[in-house]
Amino acid sequence: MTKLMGLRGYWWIISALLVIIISSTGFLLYLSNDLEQESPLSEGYTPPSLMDLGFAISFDEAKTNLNKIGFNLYLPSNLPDNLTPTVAWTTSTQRASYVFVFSKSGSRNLETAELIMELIPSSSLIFYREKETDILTEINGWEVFMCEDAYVGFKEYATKYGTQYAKLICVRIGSLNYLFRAEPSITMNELIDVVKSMKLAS
Amino acid sequence: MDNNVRNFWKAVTKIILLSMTFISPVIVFANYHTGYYYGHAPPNGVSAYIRTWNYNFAGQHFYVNYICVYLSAGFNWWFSTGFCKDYRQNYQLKYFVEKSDRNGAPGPEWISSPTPVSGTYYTYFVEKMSGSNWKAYVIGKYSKTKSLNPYAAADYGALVETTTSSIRIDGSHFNYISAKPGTGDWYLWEDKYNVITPPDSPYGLTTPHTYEFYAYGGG
Repeated sequence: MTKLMGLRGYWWIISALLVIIISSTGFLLYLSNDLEQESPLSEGYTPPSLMDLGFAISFDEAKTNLNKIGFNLYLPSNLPDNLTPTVAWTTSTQRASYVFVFSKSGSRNLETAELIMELIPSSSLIFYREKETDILTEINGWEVFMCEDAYVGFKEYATKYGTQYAKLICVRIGSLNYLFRAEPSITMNELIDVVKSMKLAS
Repeated sequence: MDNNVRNFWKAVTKIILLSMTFISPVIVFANYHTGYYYGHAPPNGVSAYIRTWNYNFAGQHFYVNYICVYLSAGFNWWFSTGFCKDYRQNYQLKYFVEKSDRNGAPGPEWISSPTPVSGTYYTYFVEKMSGSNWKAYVIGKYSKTKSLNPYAAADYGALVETTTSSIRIDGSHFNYISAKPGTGDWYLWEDKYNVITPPDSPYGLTTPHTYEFYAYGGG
């Protein structure tokens, strides 16, 4: 009988601990989510992120797929600050639509990665200059648009970096626009060096 | 011993129920989507024939039916138009236009008048005009032209979105979903592309054609 009472006592201690842990976790999540509701990011009608619907493959597979549908892939050969390629996201291997992810930590998450490179097919540069700080120029003979204040529409990005803005360079090579997004600590000169180092993937 | 086992499982059940009380608000805040994306980007626009429906709900919630141009997956930019029912618009059915591009996402621009009529179908267009301009419109109802940067379509979507699964979306019907490859005609979305956006539970999708769907569930 004493043994049973003892067991029952343990159950209630364990139960109480579980309640405290789960409840406080839930409450903290609730509070953080409630704060996010104050963010302008959550006020709009937001379609699901395209690559949420996609799948991840290796850079080599992406290159092979692009070659099969008649596109050459250029990749940076010089990356800043221990960044390494992780995965390429796509919604279809039959299209030249990819987001390549580079990360310090091996993350595959395109919303929060330090550097990403997106491919958008177009035979002209898809950005235009609208602010004095925007730059239209050429690098390696390729058309380039760059700005330091491009809005990023992911809550996760804003949470990680404390800002909704990123550095952006778009470079057109042939019929593909390569759209780079760099987190705030990567300098524009480092990002320019990334673009300068782009080479045909072999 | 049997009583002890029974008491143990009663306690576990209580813990789970109590925990759910705290965790459920987190789940409620996530938006739910169902519909199509095209997996293809003819350069000059998207359109759809969408039924207006009216479902009564309470609380700080909304539901939306819309078409959109995806501009970037890596930055999460788009341009959209459709109809909504939103607590911020006093639960009135409204047309809206919204954009997210390099300059930010200022939120939906609601059309004060005219308003969509429940049970009526309207054909919504998002069409590329000259330069960086895109026009969102329903013929004879409203028209808004916005300059987008970047200005090229990366993909298209046709979607139902809610902020809570307690909103029943059974009236949703999209038909004749089309894209505009050149300067002339609009073409129905083709079978050869991958089009279904997996519906967020508890919602579902009936897909008679690549260019048509019914969405259902919730409530």
